[in-house]
Amino acid sequence: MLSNTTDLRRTLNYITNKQKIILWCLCSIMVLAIFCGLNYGGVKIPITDWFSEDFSELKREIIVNVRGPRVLLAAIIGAALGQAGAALQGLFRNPLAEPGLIGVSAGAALGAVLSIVVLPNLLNQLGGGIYMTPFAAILGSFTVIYILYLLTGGFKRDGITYILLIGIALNAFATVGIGIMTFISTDSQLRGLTFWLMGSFGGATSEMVIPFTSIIFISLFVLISVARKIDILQLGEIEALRLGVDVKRLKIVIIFSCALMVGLSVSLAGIVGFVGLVVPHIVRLLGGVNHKYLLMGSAILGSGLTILSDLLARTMIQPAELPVGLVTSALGAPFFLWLILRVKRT
Amino acid sequence: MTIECNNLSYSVLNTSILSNVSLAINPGEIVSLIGPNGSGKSTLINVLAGDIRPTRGIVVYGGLPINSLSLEKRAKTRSVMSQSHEIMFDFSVREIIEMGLIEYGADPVNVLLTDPVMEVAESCYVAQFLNRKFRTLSGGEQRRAHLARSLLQIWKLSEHDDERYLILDEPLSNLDLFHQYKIAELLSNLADKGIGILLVAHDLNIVANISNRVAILQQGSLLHDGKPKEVLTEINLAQVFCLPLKVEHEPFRITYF
Repeated sequence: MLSNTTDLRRTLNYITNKQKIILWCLCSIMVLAIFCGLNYGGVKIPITDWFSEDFSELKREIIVNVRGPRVLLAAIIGAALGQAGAALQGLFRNPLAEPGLIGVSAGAALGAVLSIVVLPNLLNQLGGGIYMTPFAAILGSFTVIYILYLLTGGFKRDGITYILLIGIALNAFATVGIGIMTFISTDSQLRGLTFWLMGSFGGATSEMVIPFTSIIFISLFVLISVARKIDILQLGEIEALRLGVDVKRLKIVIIFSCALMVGLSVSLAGIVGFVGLVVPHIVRLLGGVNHKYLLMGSAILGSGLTILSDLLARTMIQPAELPVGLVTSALGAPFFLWLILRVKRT
Repeated sequence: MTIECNNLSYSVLNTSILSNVSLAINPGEIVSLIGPNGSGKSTLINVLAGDIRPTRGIVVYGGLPINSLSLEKRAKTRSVMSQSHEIMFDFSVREIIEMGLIEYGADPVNVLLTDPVMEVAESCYVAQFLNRKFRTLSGGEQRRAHLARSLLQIWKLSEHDDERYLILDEPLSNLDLFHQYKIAELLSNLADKGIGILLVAHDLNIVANISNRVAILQQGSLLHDGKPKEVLTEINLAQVFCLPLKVEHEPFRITYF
């Protein structure tokens, strides 16, 4: 009787005790990463200094206005990309779907770049210039997911490679578009090609970070709220429909949330690759595949990993800075290769 | 109160797949649907389940057209098991079965009194590998786990008398002899408890011995619908399967060697 009740509690809550422990561990890694991110950099500011008399105005300035927003930006973008990867993998029923690989990030970047190069006058007239670029980025990522959806026959063709190949083609298109736009634009209009293709958290300003952080937060929780339905979707669309899941609505929720998160991330920090691939897989390997756990875990580990990657990017070749996407790709590419070999075996 | 369809037709690009099919499944009754490959059995199941809209005619659940019922209501009334997709992620067998536990279905208070997951797992002989990864199971074991999930979907405590139906597309395929026999027995028991069952199967002996009614589908038309002994005759079977089958009545068996 007792075991029945615990089993059932597990069913209804849908996260096991083991998974809870793992989530707490991931949380502590994230907190640790935040402290490291604040402590290290051009100037080392140990946490013990914060409350001592040694905490000069300059150091306060660095923490509050430079590192603080930057770490926050890395955290939120890591969470968004990690979770968007997990959700897209669930949506496409494909362990290799990742916003960067299947062109969703590149679509967002193209949208952002187009809005800057093609519509600058319009932007100035409308006034809300800084919000136009993120909006275009969201539209870009949405368009790519939608085209993927159409070309894969509404996700009916579920061969792993098919979606991936179409994604690669779309990625190539979008990358060409970004290249052309950066080439014809004047320098003042656009940040460099490297920003869009390799990412950077350097440009974080609080007027952008704070509103977008709240939007991303909402999307994170919206996705977690449909986690069980994403689980059921793994049985196949028709099976999910027969189990009472409104599949069409579920897909719209996933597509919108992912487009929103990826679009905003790209407009804030360019393309940061492989986070959406590596993170969900580590989380699955640690504790299981049910999406409530997976989506939460991916958001938490995603932020930790991205903060650390950014820390590496800005400390490795001081005083210069590496693009953060270079660091995440350097970590992610070998992992991707290993994953392909593993998927092929099973 | 039944699941039924009247004069139902379905065609794709002017190719008729089902024409003028009328069929009813009553509570407590096993209706077996037999017919050669490509005769439209799976399409009929899709239409009855509400997955696709028929070109003509309607599907009715308990007097109400299926279009007027919410997805939730449909899910509580009937569960459907068919050839399934490959599952890409490493869910455990228990997790796959629990997917049948729709939140709005089983009442949590009642569920606390017994363990429905264990109950359906035992009845489908998958209880011993609840904690294994679903993808490591053999084909037959996966079929049984999916059947357990379908049973859990319409699981209710025995005092509930809501109507429930099982629509099963070849649940016995890939099963070894022991499990074929046991699952057939399970279906009989479920029918005795008042569940209406539509069964697509190829083993005519099982069909002959557990069905209350047999329907034969050929090229999208329902040729026969009636009691097993009336429908499963040498003449009918020879016409449909193009093989000289031998039918004996005591015991009821069909041989072709």
